[in-house]
Amino acid sequence: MNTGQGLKGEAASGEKRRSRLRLGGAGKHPIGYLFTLPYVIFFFAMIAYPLGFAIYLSFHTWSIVSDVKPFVGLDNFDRLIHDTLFWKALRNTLKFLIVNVPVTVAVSLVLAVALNQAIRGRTFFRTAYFLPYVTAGVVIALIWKWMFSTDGGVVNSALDAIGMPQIGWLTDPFWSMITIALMVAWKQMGFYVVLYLGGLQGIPQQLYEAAEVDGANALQRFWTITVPQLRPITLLVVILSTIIGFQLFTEPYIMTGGGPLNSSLSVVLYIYQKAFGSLDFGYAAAIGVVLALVIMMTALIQRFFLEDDAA
Amino acid sequence: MSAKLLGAGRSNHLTGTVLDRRAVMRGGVALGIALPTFTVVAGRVGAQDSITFWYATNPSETEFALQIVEAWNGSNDVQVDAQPVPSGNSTEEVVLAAIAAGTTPCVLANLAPAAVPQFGQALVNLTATFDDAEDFLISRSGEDIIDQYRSDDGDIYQIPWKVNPVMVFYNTAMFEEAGLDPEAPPQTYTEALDAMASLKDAGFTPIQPSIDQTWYNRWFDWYPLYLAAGDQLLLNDEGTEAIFNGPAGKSAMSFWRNVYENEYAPQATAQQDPYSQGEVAMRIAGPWAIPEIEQGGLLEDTAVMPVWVPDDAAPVEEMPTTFADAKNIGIFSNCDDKDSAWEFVKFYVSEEQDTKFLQITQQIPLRQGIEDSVASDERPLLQAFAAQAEHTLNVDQSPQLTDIFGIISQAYQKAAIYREASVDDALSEAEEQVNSLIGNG
Repeated sequence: MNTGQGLKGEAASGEKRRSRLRLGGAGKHPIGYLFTLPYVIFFFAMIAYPLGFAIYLSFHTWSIVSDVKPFVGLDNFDRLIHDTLFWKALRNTLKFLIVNVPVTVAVSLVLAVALNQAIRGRTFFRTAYFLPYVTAGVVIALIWKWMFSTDGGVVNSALDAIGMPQIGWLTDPFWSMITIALMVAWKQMGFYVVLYLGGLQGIPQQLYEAAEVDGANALQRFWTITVPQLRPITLLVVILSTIIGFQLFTEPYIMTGGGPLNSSLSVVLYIYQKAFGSLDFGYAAAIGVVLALVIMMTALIQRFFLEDDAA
Repeated sequence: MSAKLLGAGRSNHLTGTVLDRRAVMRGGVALGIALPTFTVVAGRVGAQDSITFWYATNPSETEFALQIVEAWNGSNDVQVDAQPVPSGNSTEEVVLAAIAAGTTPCVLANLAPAAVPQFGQALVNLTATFDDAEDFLISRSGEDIIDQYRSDDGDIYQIPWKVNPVMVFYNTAMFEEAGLDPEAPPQTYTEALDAMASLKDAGFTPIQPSIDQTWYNRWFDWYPLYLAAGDQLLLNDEGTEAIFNGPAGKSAMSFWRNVYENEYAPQATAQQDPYSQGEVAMRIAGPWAIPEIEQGGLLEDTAVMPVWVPDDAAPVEEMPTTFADAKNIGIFSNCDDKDSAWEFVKFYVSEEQDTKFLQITQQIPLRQGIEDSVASDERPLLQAFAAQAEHTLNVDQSPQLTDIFGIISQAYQKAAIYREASVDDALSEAEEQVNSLIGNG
C-alpha cells in the first residue's frame, strides 16, 4: 500500500531524473528533442542526404557501372539548356498543369460544397470520392489505360455506340497529356475535397444567414461567401496540386511510356529514362536539380499572387 | 510480481489449468533457449548457399527453366532460387534498376547482347574469372559465334545462348479467304502491300505492330526490314557514325509509312497479341511467339515467311537477312557465389538441356551440331526458323544502343505512324541525333 510519503519520495526521485535529463539551453522539456529524433533521422536519411547527393551528382558524369566518375563542372546544365527533349518534357508538364490544376480546384470545390449539404448517402459519396486517392496509382493507371484504349476500350466503344468518332485518347499526340491530366485530377480529387470540407466547416453560419436575409440566392452565396472564405484552402490546393503535378511520373510511365511522339513525356519520366534507361545519373540529377528550382519558384509565385487575399 | 502479471496462480478460464510460478519460469527458460536457437537456425537457413536466377516470362521458357532448376536442385547442395524477370517495360530496364539498387540476380537468362556494353562492370568477366570459360564456350558454340560476342577488350561477358530469328507469321485461312495463295506468300514490299490490300478488302486487319515508342518495339517492324534491305547494322564498323540514313533505312521506313497511310495497320497498340486472338492476319515475331499462337488455337492455320525486301531486290533467291533477337546468359558481379553460378550456367546450357530447350521452346540454341536435333524434328515452324537462323544479324555493340533505338523509334513514329515528317527529314534528324549522341558518348 502506498503512503503519502512514498508518493513524495517517488516524485522527488522523478524530479532528480528529469533534472539529469535537462541540458544547458535545451528548454524546460529537453526530452522533447529525443522525441523528434526519429523524424530528424528520417529527414537526413531520406531528404537531406539524397538532395545533397543529387546536387553532387549533377556536377559529375556518374554511372553506377563505371568506376570513372569525373567532375564535369556545369557541363550537365549546359547540355540541359540545349536538350530539346528536356524542353519538350517541361512544356508537356506545363500543359498537364494547365489542365489539371484548374479542373482539380473547380471540381473539388463544387463536390465539397455538394457533400457538405445534408444529402442522402453523403458518407457513401465521401468514401467513393476518396477511394481513388488511396488506391495504388499503378492499378488506376492500368485501368484507365484499358478504358481509354483505341483497341476496344470502353470509352471509345461508348462513343462508337452513339455514332461519335473514336478518339485516340492515349495514341493521339494532342489528347495523350490531356487524358492523363484529367485522370490525375480524378484520382487526387478525394484528398482536396477533404481539405475543402474542412474549410467549409470553418465558415461562420451567420454569414449565410445574413446573406439569405438580404435576398442572396444560392449561387450568389457561393460566389460571395464560400469562394472568398475558402481562399486559404484554394491556395493550399493550387500549390499542392502544382507541386504534385510537376512530379508526374506513374501515369505516363504506365499509360503511354511518354509517347506518342513524346507528347506525354513528363520531366520526371525523362529523369527516370536518363537515370535508369541510359545510366546517365549525372545528367538526370542535373534535370532533377533544375526541376526542384522550377517547383520552388512556381510555388513562390503562386503564393505571391494568392496569399494576400488568402491571409 | 512478474508471475502475477503473467497470471500465474490464477485459474485459467479458457483451459481450466492452473499455472504456477514454476511453470512460468520453466516456460520462460524454454522460450529463452528456443527463440535464440530458432533465430540462429532460421538465420542459417536464410544464409544457406543459394544463387538467384531470373528467367524470361515466356510460358515455354518458364516451363523449361523450372524443369532445369528442379533437376539442379535435386542433385546439388547449392540451391537455385528461380523467379521470372520482374515486371517492367523491358528486361533491360528492370535489370538497370536492379543494378542501381544492388539487387541483381546471380544469373540472368534473358540478356540482350545490346545491353551488355551498357551493363558494363555489373557483369562478370567470364574469361578472366573462370579458367575453363573460353574452352567451354568455344566447344559449345564454335569460335565464330563466340567471337561475335566478345567485348572490345577481347573478353567475354555473356554466354551466347540462343537466337530467335524474326519472321512473319501469317494466318493461312485468312490468306485463302482473301484470295491469296498461302503457299506463295509475298516476298517484296509491293507484293506485301498488295496482299495487305486484299486482306483489308476481305474484312481482315492485315497486321498490327505495336505503335508504342519504347525503343525495342522497332525490333519487330522497321529494324528487320532494314536488315533485310541492307544487310548492315545501324553504325559503321568502328561504331563512330550512323549509317542507317541510306537506301535501306529509307525504303523500310517508306514501306511502313505506306502500311499506316493505307490503314493496313491500326494506330493502336493491342492489349493482347491480336494475332493469337485471330484478329489480324500477320505478325512479325520470333519463335518465342509460337506457344502463344498455340494457346490461341491457331497453330494449324499458321505458317511463316521471311521478312519482305524492297522491290529491286527481286527475284529473291536466298533468304533475306533478319534480326537475330539473340538472348544470352549473364552472371552478375554482386553474386556471392560466382563459382556455383558458373557451374549452374554450364548445366543450364549442357547438350542435354539444349536439346530439351529446342523441344520445349522451338527456339534455336547456339550449339554446334544442334542441326541434327532440328533435322529430326518434324514441326514445320521450327524447320523454317532454323533455316532463317543462318541469315541473321544482331545489333551494334554500343553502350548507347537503347538511346539510339529510342531516337529511331521517334523517327518511325514521325515518318510512318503519324506522318508528321517526311521519311527523309525524320531519318536525317535521327542520324544527326545519333551522331551527336555517339560523339558525346
